[in-house]
Amino acid sequence: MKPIHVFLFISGLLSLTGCSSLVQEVDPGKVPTATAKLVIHCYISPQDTVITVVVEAPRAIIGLTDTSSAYRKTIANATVSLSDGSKTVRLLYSAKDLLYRISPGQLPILTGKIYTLNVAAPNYAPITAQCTVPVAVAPAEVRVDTVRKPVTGRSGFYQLRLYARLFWQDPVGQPNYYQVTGYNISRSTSTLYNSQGKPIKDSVYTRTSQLYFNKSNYLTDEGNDGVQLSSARGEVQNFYINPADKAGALSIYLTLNTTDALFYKYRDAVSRQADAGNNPFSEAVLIPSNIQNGLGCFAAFNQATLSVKVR
Amino acid sequence: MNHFLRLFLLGWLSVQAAFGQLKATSGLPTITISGYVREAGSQEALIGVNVYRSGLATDRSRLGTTTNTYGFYSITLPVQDSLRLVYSIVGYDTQEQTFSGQKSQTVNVLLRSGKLLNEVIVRSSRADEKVSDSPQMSQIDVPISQIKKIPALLGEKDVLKVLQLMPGVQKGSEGQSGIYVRGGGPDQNLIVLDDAVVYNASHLFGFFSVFNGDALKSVELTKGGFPARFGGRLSSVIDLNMKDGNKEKLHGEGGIGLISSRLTLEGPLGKKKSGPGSTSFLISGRRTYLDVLAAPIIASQSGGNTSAGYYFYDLNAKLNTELTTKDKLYLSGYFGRDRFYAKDKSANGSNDIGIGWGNATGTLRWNHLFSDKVFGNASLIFSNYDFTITSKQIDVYKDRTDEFNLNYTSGIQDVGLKYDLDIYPNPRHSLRVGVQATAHRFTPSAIVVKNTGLNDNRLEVDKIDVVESGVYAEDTWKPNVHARVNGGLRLSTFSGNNVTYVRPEPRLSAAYMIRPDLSVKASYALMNQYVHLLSNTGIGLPTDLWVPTTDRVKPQQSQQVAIGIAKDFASTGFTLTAEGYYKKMDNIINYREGASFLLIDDPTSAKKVQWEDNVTAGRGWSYGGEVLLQKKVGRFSGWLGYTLSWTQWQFADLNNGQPFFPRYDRRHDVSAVGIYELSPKITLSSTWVYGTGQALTLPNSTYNAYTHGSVYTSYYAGPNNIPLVQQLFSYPRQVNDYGPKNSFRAEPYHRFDVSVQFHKKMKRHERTWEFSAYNAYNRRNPFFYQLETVSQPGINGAAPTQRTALKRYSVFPIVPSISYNFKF
Repeated sequence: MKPIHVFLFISGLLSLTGCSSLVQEVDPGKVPTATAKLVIHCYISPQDTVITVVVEAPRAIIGLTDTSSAYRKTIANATVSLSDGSKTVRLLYSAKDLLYRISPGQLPILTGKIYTLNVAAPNYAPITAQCTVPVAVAPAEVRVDTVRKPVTGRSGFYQLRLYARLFWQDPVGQPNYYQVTGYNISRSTSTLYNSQGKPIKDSVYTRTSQLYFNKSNYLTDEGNDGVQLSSARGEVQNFYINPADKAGALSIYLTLNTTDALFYKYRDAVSRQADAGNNPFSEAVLIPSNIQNGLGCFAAFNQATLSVKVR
Repeated sequence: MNHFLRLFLLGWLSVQAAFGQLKATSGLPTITISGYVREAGSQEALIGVNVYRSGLATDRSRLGTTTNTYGFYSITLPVQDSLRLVYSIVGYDTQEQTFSGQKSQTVNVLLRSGKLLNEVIVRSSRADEKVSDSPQMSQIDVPISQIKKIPALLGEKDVLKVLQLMPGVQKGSEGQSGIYVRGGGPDQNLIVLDDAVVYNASHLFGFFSVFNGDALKSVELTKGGFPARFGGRLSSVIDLNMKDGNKEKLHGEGGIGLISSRLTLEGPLGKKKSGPGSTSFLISGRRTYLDVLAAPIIASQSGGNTSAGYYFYDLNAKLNTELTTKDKLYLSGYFGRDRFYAKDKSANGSNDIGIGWGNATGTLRWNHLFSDKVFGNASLIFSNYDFTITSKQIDVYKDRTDEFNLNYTSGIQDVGLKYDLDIYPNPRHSLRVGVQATAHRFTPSAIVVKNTGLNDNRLEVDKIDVVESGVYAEDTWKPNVHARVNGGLRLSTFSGNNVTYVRPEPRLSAAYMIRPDLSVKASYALMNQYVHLLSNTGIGLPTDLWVPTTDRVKPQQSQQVAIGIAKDFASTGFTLTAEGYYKKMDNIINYREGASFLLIDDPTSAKKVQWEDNVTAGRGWSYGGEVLLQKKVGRFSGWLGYTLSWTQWQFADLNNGQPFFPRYDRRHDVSAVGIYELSPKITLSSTWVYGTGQALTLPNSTYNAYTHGSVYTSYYAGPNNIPLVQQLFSYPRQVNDYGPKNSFRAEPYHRFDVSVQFHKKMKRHERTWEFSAYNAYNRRNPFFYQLETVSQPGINGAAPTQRTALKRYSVFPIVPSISYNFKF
């Protein structure tokens, strides 16, 4: 055997095997598929004006693409019940709202109590989940400040912006989780003009707007147990009004939601999975769940609100 | 730990006392024979040569020593009329020397390479090196000459890829040179080239390792039962030694392959070929030339406006000189770099992007012989690894020119000092003591952005300076003809980042010879690791980031126990080892879910993110069994290895805190390597490997995730106009349900490689043509998986449909290669 013989042999072998594609579909039969699970979302608090449970179906990844336009796959024929250990009530499906609901009067949500959610639906494994309503932490103070900032895209123009931040004392010796939400109610008076451009009357506008937080308003006391905590800075919308209008009363309301652990971790994971997107260099973000045999989140929170009148 | 340490020391002393060896050699007059063992023809120092007394009745009675990294040996024996010593090592002619047993003397020995010998003599030397005779277990060494015969991807011989073929050692993805030892990650391997740590041993995104076999003298991998002289990593030590350089004549070898060529030259400097004043050198280089070949094509297709390419190179150099009969000096260095570049220019400006990474190491070593029983070595060590991305964009406008510059750097730099003493008091004891200190400087990330008209933006994570050190003592003790023990203690310390750790690391390995060719072995080792590698690709990308221990990121620690048997089959030259191990690892780190190496999302933002925020610590454990049947010499050589293992990790922040199989958990791993010298002119070789598929995470389904919302969503629509679901919940995000982490198993990996080498002695040189086929039966092994949408035409006039399919991407079909090698 000489070198040239080997070369010819390998060349021949190559021409026989060809170079079929390096990308091949995996036989779907060999891809393990998980049994479809119910997807449950329910957040309860003593301040609820309505108790709701969203029951939906997941969409399979492998196989035919679901071309239905609805982004929600609500399951309408489920049996949904909520229990506080001594009393169990069934939530009824609302076709208008596409969720299951009851009035809190039928099952009051109380601080410290454990609630159990059970859902059963045809073709799905029944699910059960539990959560405990945390004790509300009282907010201590709302601090308001203004900042003069350049107007985007208009060189030389400045605008006064109003911000609010919530402070509170973290209870020591236990892990705590919070969500801070806020809104403001502002009044202003504007003059209405007719089609000839003549003023006809003054109208008072009342606007309710959410505060815009510059970073996450979900917090944990991990590494800061027992210290004074503060929320992210929430920007007040509609503070700046047209100079032709008259500014009226402005009040800011900041709510401290003391939440259970899953409330925080679920939202954190959902957010991180969205942030990671399809980045091939990042670890897949798993979404935690307390829904046995299912997916989603059954969590509790407890609210306390502070307000401040700015003008 | 302190309690354990006291017990360990007490145990060591008790065992010594029980055997009565503390006083065994006292009283009798002794002589010491010491010297160096080198290769005939090149004067290359030989490592691990067995030196023992000849002429004793049984094999069991022999108590000898082995040469150290510099080829030095020392053996102390009772005074006698005459003394006959045997010098043997696999692949070399065994030599016996007789001298007076009345006085101590220096005996330097030259051994002839076994390739010059006939089969019968080789077999006789083979019987003299026995795995059953050493207390060391879990150690692998593959002769470099054998590595050069094993088929390789594109003909590029690769030391690390050959190690991957050994039981307990696994590769990462297809074609990758990353090494996973007994459930440990690639960061847990201490890769040392002439005492200097090589931080990134990969070229071309992990497809080739940085080690050029032509420049190497030896490679040894220890995966358990670590002697105390090694420390700093949890899972393995890969100890590579460069050749010293031929002292007798100019010698060269090289090769021309499909993607690279290489050339090594070595020889004496000056006329003196041995003894004080003799000096030799070695210089070895390798470079790929894909960029050179592609450049004219790219230039012609782009009208000369674009140039792009990739290349890597390695340069090894070594100089050694004998200052006196007792002093030797070695200066060695390695420089290697990968570079990808793309340049594009037009009338409107230009764009210039570069990515580069590489290692540089340098070692200055001074051997000093204090006496015929005490050998010392001092090393001054330098190592640097850096990764850079540069981007320069010039936009030419009518009235101005804008220039944008971005520079990203990460890396690690070491400066270290090491002193080791080898002490040979008597044939029953070989002591080693030493001290080492390394100053690490980490650059976790530094980005500088310059833009015309805007302020420069500099975003640097401060460089971090830390010091890691270790002091150790170990003894290889032969209490009697049956038992072999290596016991030792290493005290490792780390200080920096406002934290200090001092941790004792006891080590013990022992062998008991049941029969002259059969021994049982056991070992225990505790290891600490103070530097960590953040990697979430698993494919050896240069973006992997080395980071130090901090107050938040604790040192990694492992404890490993192993038991096994070692059997020599003297008549056939086979050795069989079987081992079982259990290893637990604490404080191992990993990226948090969703985090990646990019320290920041937006280089122009002022936000400074600490890498520590992106990592999570956990624990892992691995256990399994390994069997290796090996034959190192003869017309037919090679090995058969099998590993059965389980590895699991558990992190509070991964997989919802539940244990999971990491990506490289591999239940079964098989490798078969065969080399057959068909004739002096033809060498055939082949390998076959099989491995259980990787554990991966794939989504099962997607669903809407609702989080708690707020009633006041918009001022222009009162709450009453908003659907209830939007009042109570935030707008849902569609998320993936992955099931448990890494619950999908990739398809098994298997591959067959084959090669044939034709050797011919020419007038002035010897040449070898090599033809090989990687993945000879053209298996489509998975490199990664991806979900993709596939369109299907409608049947019988129905509308076309779309479906999501799982696609498997492979990188290498059958890859034939040809290379030409020569030496003179």
